[in-house]
Amino acid sequence: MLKFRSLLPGISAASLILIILSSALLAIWKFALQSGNLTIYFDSYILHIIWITFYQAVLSTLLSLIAAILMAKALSLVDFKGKKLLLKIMPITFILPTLVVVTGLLSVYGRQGLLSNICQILHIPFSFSIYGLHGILLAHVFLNFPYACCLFYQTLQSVPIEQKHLAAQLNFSNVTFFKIIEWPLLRRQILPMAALIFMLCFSSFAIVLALGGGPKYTTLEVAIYQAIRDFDLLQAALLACLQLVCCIAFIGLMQKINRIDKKLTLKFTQTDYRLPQPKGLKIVSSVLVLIGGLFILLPMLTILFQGIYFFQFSLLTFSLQQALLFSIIIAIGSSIIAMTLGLLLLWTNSRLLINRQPRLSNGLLLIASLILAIPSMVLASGLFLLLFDYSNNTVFICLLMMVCNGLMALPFIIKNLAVPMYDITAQYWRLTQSLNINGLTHFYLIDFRGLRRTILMSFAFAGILSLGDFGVIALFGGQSVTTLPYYLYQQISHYQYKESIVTAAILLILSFSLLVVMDYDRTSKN
Amino acid sequence: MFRKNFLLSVIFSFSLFSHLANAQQPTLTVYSYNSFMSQWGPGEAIKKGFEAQCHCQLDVVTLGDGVSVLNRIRLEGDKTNADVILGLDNNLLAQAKQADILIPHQISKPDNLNTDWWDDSFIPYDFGYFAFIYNQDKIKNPPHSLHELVENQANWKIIYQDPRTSTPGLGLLFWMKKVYGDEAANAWQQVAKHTVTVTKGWSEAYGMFLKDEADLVLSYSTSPIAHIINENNHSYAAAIFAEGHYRQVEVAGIIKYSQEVDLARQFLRYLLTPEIQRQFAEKNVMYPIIKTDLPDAYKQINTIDKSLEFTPEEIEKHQKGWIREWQSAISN
Repeated sequence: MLKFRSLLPGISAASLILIILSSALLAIWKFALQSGNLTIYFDSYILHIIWITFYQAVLSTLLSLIAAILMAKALSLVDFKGKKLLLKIMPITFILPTLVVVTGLLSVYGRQGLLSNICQILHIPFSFSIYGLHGILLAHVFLNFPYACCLFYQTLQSVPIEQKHLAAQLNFSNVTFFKIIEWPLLRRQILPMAALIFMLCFSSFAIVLALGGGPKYTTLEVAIYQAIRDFDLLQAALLACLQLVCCIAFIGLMQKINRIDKKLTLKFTQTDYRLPQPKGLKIVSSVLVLIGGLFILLPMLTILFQGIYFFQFSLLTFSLQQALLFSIIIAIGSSIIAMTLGLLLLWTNSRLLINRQPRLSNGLLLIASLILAIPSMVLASGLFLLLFDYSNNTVFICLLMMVCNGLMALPFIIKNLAVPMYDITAQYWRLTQSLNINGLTHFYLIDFRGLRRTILMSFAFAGILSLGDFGVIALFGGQSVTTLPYYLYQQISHYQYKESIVTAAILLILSFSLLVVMDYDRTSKN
Repeated sequence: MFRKNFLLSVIFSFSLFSHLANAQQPTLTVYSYNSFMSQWGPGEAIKKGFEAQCHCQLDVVTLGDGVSVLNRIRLEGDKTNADVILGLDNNLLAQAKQADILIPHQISKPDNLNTDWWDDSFIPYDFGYFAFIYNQDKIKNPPHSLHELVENQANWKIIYQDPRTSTPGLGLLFWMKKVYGDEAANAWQQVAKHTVTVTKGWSEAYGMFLKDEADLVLSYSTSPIAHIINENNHSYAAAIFAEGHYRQVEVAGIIKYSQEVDLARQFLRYLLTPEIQRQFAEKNVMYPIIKTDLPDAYKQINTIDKSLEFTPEEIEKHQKGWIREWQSAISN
């Protein structure tokens, strides 16, 4: 029986999100209509970009997912020193500012990058050019695949040991094991992950331009940005809605295909157990892990080494410290907001699923990820119009950035926690109902205690997402509030190129230490 | 949680106190782009200097770039706090005038101007020329004209910025149009063959150039000065083109909703004083608008003697069409 009480948290969080988003969009519509600038143009060029946007987003999503599944499977088959570290570093690619990603990738794949240098030493002609569709795909895979891989790896790890034992007794081959045991588990994650990556690639902008090798590859987001700059607000709002519709259509499609099975898959014991593996499989896995690891690590390492190389204490200026402080405060604030909203939504979501309401659950989760489909410039402009009386107040700007970044992080929190929270709630459902454990007590005893690590990791993750973002600040003024990415762009615009690499390295180190601190395991594993 | 609140309240009370302390004095609010006030920009010195003589408080609100500043004031309309807008350029004038947010500054044209540029609503405070920058250690024989670059016998690799999203990119669009006129579409197709990539903003393009991804990058003719001043590096130079270079003039103006018009006018005059002009030359790395002593590095770079420019009316009329022309010329 679905009680109103269990619906309330999710509905209130969802309506809060909807109110923020729709009022921002409506504010722009209203302003545009009032200002009387009603020029709208819709030509074949826009259709062309929608097609290009769609095309590169679908390709990027497919490649990221395939790479992630292969790498996750390979990781689950081999053990090596530093595996845990690698898994921790992986999702950081996600949060780097565009400029850092582009420089990082260029230090490896560029004309004077690592690869071309190695080729030179070995006297192999190096003719690879990163620019073009493959550059965009490379960057998008670099950004998205490690995160997906982490999540898939965790899923593979959650296969109960009893099932493994059983599989061994039945003499399952590795292929059969994957097909019968692991694939159904992965499948639950793949489609939501596809939707997430698709949205990120669909609205990707600076990277597509920089590595696309010319405006042949532009995204709809560029047109929106251009419309905002030309102050064709109506055009911007229309295109933003178009983007929203495209993304919702894609997610809707994904959710049609996807269904969460009512099946419990929890770790019961933590002992590692593997099916016997043929040697060939082990070698292939090791090679895959090596390639994947290098692919992720090399660009980051080059930034880190250059950062250390150029480091001087005199670079730790007051402005940098201030930017650091603001970044951290905003990161913590947005994590709290994202976590609160996420837990409220998922609370209701689990109960919806237990009561067999998958459609309502899908709708709820869709609302949570809507924010990714709305261009941040549009959101920022809309919020600005609504709230502009407060726009000179530092505290207010901080709060606003926390809300925006928190909303941006929400889809990831949902992705990390939705399945585990449903599983654990469902597992203890009869028990908790018979003992009348509800509300906060339920949250503490069941969800939090059961999923503490996942919850803390998601919290840290939301934090680092916010560290790298600088969407909203551009419109609200950056004199009183500077964050690290903002500071980095300031450095570059003053030709402080080497110094900016140090800032990028600091951003990397900060993100990484946040993940490590949060992931620090206070309880022993067994 | 407690610490966060504590920190925020400390920050908040600081800003509150500073406002209270100056409650007696009038406040002049300037909207500008963010590199103006950054650690390396000229803003801090200008603020100090002006406050010392105006008996007022100068608040500088900084936003992304010139376009963001203009749009922010358009969004705010008559509720804006801005008295002065600083950081538009000659290519935005038409838009700014159309938005009707300014009043004439009523300052008479000084005699010692460096340029012929003057306007009733806007005070120019510095200017520069768009130019392609190259590394002298690698390119021994750079292009000497835009035609040479477009025809590109030497197969130079070029990076420039997207005219839809960045100021230098828009500058190049006008530059090409000025030189090629109706033939611009053809010329763009030729450029496209040698274009490494087109970036969203100047930072990405210049960063990629420094990473050696291209032979030439679109920037300002004064960019080599930054390398000389910051790192004593003389390798970079601007390629000087026979057809001339498209000029960018940076301007400031008085917002029509301002309550402090006199103070605003005083501020604009202050921008044209020699000390401040030198600040712009040093920290904005642009030419001062009045004749001023320049840092030594300025004598070590290639100078430009022919400047190109469209009138605001022409820009207003054609800009969108030209962008579409560029788009279709190079998307094929």
